[in-house]
Amino acid sequence: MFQPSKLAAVDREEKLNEQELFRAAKNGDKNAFKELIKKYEHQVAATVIGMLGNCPEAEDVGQETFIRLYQSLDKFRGEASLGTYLTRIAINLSLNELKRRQQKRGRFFSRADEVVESIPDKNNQKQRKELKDIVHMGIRKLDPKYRTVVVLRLIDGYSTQETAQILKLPVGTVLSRLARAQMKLKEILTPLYWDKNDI
Amino acid sequence: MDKKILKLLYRSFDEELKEKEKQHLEAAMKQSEELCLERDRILAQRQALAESSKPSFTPFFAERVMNRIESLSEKKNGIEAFYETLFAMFRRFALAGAAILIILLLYNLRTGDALSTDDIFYTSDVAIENIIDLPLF
Repeated sequence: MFQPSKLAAVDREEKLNEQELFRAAKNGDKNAFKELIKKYEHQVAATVIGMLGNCPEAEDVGQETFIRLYQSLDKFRGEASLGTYLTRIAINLSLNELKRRQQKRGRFFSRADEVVESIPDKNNQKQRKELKDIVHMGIRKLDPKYRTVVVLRLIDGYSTQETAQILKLPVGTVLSRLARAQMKLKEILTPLYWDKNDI
Repeated sequence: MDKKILKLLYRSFDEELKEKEKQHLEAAMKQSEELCLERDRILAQRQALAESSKPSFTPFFAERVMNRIESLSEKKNGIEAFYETLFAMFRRFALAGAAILIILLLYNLRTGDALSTDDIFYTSDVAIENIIDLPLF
């Protein structure tokens, strides 16, 4: 196991590496930018897929997130970490996509997001997998403002302070939205899961 | 279930409760099995979310992003090239037009008797009615 000092050294080295990559990308090195994409791909995927579900639009939003970063390389001043900056872009683009979906739904009277499409077959899957799937389905039924805090805090693993910083909200609002979101999730999950499984 | 206690329970996962609140929650947990069950459910819910924190896009995502960036900059270059050509062409036409205008002015100045605007632009014999009567209109 790593000693704390070694861990700190590794962390420092990684940050330095990231800064070098960022500087190179800023100077037009496309390979460096590609490395940055590879480095942050999973983080952006977690945010975008958490917000939109695993769908083709999620990949589009993910790509757009990195394109926006590329276009604003000169503007990025490093006040927030690159990861936080990317998460902010990903969240904003995901919210736009959700709005677009809502408008489309309004136009065509389709309720794709609200329909309980794929409750996994319990006989074939383990309980944990089933719970994960149902929880994710539950997230997609949450209002975007609740969904955002759940994704940032519980999926991406940001602290409540960081979540508040990314969303530019007071910490108190984040906490109350989190509590509300979890209560709503429980309401959704109760008939689908808790009533059928003993925990 | 008491809503205040329930809120306290939810808060306890994301923030440090005050000592009094902690004691209140602990006492309530000892008394209520339902509350303990609720805590376990919240824990399981949060764990399920945390465990799914490593989704990824389909393979070669970085390559696809770079391709899009390349095509965007090519497109941008195309538009920039179009405007540059247009600007260069327009500059030539504008310079040629200005030169023709100056030559006409000088010619009219030389042939005219006096230095009036009518003579310079050769409009002394043209009345507005004549312009309107021209076949062009």
